[in-house]
Amino acid sequence: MRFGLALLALLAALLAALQVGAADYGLQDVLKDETARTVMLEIRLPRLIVAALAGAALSAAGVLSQGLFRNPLASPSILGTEAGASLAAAFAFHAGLAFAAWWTLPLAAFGGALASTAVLFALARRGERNRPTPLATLLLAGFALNALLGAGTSLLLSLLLEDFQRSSAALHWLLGGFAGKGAEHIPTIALPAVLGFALAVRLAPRLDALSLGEDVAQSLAVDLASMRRATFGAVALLVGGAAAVSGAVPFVGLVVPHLTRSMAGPRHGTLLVLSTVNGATLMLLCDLVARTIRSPRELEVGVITALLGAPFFLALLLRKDRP
Amino acid sequence: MLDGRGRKVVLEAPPQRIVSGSLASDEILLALFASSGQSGRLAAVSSLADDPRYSNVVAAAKTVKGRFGEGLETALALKPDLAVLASFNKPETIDRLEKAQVRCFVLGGFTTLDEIAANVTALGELTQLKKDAGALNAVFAKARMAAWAGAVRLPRRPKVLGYLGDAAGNGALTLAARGSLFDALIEEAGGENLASSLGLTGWPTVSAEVLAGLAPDVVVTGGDGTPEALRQTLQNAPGWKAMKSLARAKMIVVPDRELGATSPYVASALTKISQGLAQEIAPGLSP
Amino acid sequence: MIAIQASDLVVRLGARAVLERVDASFARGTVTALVGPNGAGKTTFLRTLAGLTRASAGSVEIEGSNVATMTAQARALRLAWVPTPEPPPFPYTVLETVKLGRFARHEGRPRAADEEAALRSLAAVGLPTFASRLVTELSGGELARVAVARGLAAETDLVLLDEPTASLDVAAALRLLILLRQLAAAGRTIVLSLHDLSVAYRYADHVVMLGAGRVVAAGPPRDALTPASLRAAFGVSAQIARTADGREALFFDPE
Repeated sequence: MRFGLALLALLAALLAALQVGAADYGLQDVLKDETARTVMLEIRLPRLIVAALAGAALSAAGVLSQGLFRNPLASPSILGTEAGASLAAAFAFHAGLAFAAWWTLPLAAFGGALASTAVLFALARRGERNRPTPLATLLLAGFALNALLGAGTSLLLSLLLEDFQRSSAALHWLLGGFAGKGAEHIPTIALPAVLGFALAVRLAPRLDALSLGEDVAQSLAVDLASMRRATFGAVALLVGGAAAVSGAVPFVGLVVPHLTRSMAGPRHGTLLVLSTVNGATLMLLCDLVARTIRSPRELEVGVITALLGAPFFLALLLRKDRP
Repeated sequence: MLDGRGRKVVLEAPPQRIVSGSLASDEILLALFASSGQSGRLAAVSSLADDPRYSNVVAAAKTVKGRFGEGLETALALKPDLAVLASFNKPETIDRLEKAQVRCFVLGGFTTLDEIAANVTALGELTQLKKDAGALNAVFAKARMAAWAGAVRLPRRPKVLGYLGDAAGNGALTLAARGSLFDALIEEAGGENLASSLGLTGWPTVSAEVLAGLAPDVVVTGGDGTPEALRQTLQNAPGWKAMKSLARAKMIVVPDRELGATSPYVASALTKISQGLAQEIAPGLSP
Repeated sequence: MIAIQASDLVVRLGARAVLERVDASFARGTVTALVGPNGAGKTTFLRTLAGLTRASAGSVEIEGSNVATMTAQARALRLAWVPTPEPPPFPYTVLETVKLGRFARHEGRPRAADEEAALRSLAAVGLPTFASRLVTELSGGELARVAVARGLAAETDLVLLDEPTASLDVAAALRLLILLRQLAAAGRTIVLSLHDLSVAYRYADHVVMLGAGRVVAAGPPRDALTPASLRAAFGVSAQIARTADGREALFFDPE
């Protein structure tokens, strides 16, 4: 029932997104007009698929992060994954690699995401002799890592400013968006997203047990170390895949699981599946706004998600603090 | 005389220690002083003058010791008697210089060829090299006349897209539209800028879907590659690859330092675009 | 018969020795109260018994097998760990939460037997009507009882509880202790840490008193909780008073 509703919403969002765009074509024109066919099938549809997959991946990563940190206001970005992707991308722009072929930038972003997550994981495992690193330490380490990676990105950007074209390209990327994404980007996101999702599904029951506390979960035969490892890995795959095709799109990973929890309940299995569907829906809608609000110009979708997400986050915080 | 801000700038004597804070003024001042052998009057040029990607005066700039970055201290240490800046220099930079008793002349517009000629005239007056400024503008005007003559001979207005890099094939599809100097070049060369016809202004980043629906005769961009390399890039780029006219459209690649110049050096870009349009529409008319 | 035994246990956290050469054994079918001043090492001792904190030296054995080398699964089927509850982050229902106590048996796919056990435990802690309530909306006392129910639902021989009565009112605390006594009578082994020494005195079969990481007294309440041992461990003056009907109670005065 809930799943049916979510799927229905996704379908509606997909149809709306297919129907409206910068070029004045809709589904009804596909059979009539060759240009319409090209625009719809080669430009609009692949982009929508990429956007939906990225939204789904970010949301699944959000479910994992909130479960791992036992905090409904956690976002996958606290693992430094997005910041790592951004730094690697900024480096690719700086070194000119980004301009060599279509796949260099996605590859760099994906690699950066994996590397930064691995660094945080290594930090998290230090001093794990007697008991796992406390979550609070992990959070602070993530915060510090984020700051460091962000500083690196800023440094590269400031060096890039002298080069107008590259810095403008880098800024576009850092703002996060799906402009010009095509069929070749579908496997770029689909592969890590499917892998990450498969891992996440296996992790879901253990995340339920973890909600009782790390100690209790451990006493229930949950292997915390291997679970953390798998969760970090899945988040890196999901967020890295999304960053590879869209740059940094903020707040989706935070907002979608949170919203979905109120319709699906807290159990991570259901939550994961429904958040994945809802994430795709939300991203399609945000991208629809980004594509059409200033048509034929485009806004970066990251701007839209932040504009929607930040006030939502504030509202959540305030509601949570109310007695 | 009035500068681009409408402020009155009075100089008692011809300035002898000028610092130039923009590539536009670097290029104009170096051209003026070179013809009269007075480059010593320039105490500093902007650091962009040394960058061969954007500067047409790399060699001439070597004769000037000082560099005007954003570092005000180094600029002031040169004890300038005049600072020539552009409207896009940071306002606080201009403010600090004036508080330090340095006279500032701020150049106004850079978006039409007339404005560039007016900047040359103004700097000629300021440095009391009116004759050299006149000569520089005469060469500039000649190139514009040649482009105009070419435009008149065109049997129809070719449809042109001016294109500023595509952000790593990631689809940041940035076009030149009304209000940009690039657009002015296309218009003066006799082309119809499709981006401006869409009602766009400035340097808009457009949807790939829009590009797919356009059918330009000519694509102009900045860079150092060959026209064929550009065609290859576009054939793999989002939006462009769906464009039906891409295979037969004429590709014109102009070095960035010419296309992006905000000085009379931009005339080279105008000439290249003009000649390209003539070849596209009326092959054989141009050499 | 000894259900769980600590021998020569040393636990260091960082440079600090929290437990030093602790020997203690817990007989099957008894309720043992672990008492001692703040920082004496009660929670660390319980965690070490539960296999959650690794001993630097010495061992913990459950009926002859070493806790440290047991698989997590085997350990989870033999003992349940009930720490003082933290505020739950997500709005699970009470029943879902209690069923999670049997995670080692169902690994996330609870069956009918798991649900029945969960409902039985809920009834046992006096919350039979709470099954569909959300844990995020419970009071501290209710949450503590849900935590105990979760531990009981695992149906393990051993139940280790850290301060289970800390947030309970007097009636709820009494009900819980009576329940624990019944479980012990049915053959389970209960070890719980307590701050309330009078409660330990009246309801425990056995008391282990810790002070600064060592066992300072152990035995039946009357033998372990003596004015001398209490003064040594807590620095208070204790008296044992006898009521008209022959029951004994502890009273404390500052020294």
